[in-house]
Amino acid sequence: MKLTVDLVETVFEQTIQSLEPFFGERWNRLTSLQQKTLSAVLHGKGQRMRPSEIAYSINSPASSVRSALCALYKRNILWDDWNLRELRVRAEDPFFAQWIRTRDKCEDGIDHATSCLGKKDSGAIT
Amino acid sequence: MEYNQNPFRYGADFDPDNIVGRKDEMARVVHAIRDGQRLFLIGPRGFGKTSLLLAAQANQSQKGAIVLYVNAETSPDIAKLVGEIVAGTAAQIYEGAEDGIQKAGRFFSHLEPTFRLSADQQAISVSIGIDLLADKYRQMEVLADTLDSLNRLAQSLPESQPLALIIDEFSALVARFGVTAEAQIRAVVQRHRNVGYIFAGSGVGLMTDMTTKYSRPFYQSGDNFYLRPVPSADFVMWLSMQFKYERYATEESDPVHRILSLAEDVPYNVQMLAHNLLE
Repeated sequence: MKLTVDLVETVFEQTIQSLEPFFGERWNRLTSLQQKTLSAVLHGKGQRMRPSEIAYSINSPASSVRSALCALYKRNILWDDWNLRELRVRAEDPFFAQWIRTRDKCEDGIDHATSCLGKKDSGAIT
Repeated sequence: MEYNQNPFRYGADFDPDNIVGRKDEMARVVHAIRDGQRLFLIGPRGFGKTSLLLAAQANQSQKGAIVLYVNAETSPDIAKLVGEIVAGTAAQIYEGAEDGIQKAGRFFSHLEPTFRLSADQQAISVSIGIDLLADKYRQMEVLADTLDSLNRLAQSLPESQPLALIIDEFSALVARFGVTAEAQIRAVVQRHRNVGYIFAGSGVGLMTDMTTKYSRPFYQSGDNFYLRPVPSADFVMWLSMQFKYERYATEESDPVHRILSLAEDVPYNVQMLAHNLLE
């Protein structure tokens, strides 16, 4: 058997699909604002956005976004990674992060032609 | 029919031989165990904290150290946590379960422990006799007393036999009992010179605040050690070797690099993806 990049990506898609019920439940436990905030952070590819920037991008009050961010850190969904003296916001579970990105893509109707799991965009935050 | 076990394991599976690229981290934990230091091991879930701690425990126990491991998240109350500390002590302190029970029973007599041996006489469990339905402060007092007993026990051991306590998911304890609990534990632990303490936690923000904010009892009371993702080079080498062993042709390292990039070098996710590739 040969290990190829295609095989790895196929199994990655299957892995994320198999975790769908677990991720769905986790997602549904978040408030609507926490969901929007998390999506905005994950699409920011790890660049630390200020709450005001997130608030602007999702059209919500900055103080509410700040509380939503606090809850996401408290629930261990996001964490601050100081690597090489540069701060990155990372999702604790990269598969959950990828599931959210895929979900957002599907909802936006973008990239359906290739795959909802976006083979060409691993979506790694860092 | 021959059945080969999947070499990639994640979740509850633990295999001390599967610790990859954690040489420096292991040395740091071992140093805290042997030198009676206080270490705060901080890292998100999935980074392999528990595996690292259990591997260090196994490694040092083989060398004669007494290393107790408890998990504050899986022990829902202080009685269970304290019971596990006493049971672990009895299991490790002396040769033979009966002997251990007798001697640990003396050190922890104030807890009025009841020891039970499993049918095969290998595992020891302990329930404590004192009433813990009291308030949180009283519960923490009992934990503090238990730690004091551990220190007395450590003082009675030869220098070649260090004693250390690992409290995994310590942040769960702090979240449940609050800052007062921190103050009570800190007050006891700072007096102990004979016990190594490793407080591990996956709540990165909570653990960082707890140890770096001036207003918190654990401010600068030990070394903070942040667990990073496993260095890619170590992981690439190990993964390639495992796949070759499983007769997967991997002439190029691209697929292995792809596994790491999709899993963002997080050990749990790397293992899960690699595991699924072999299923």
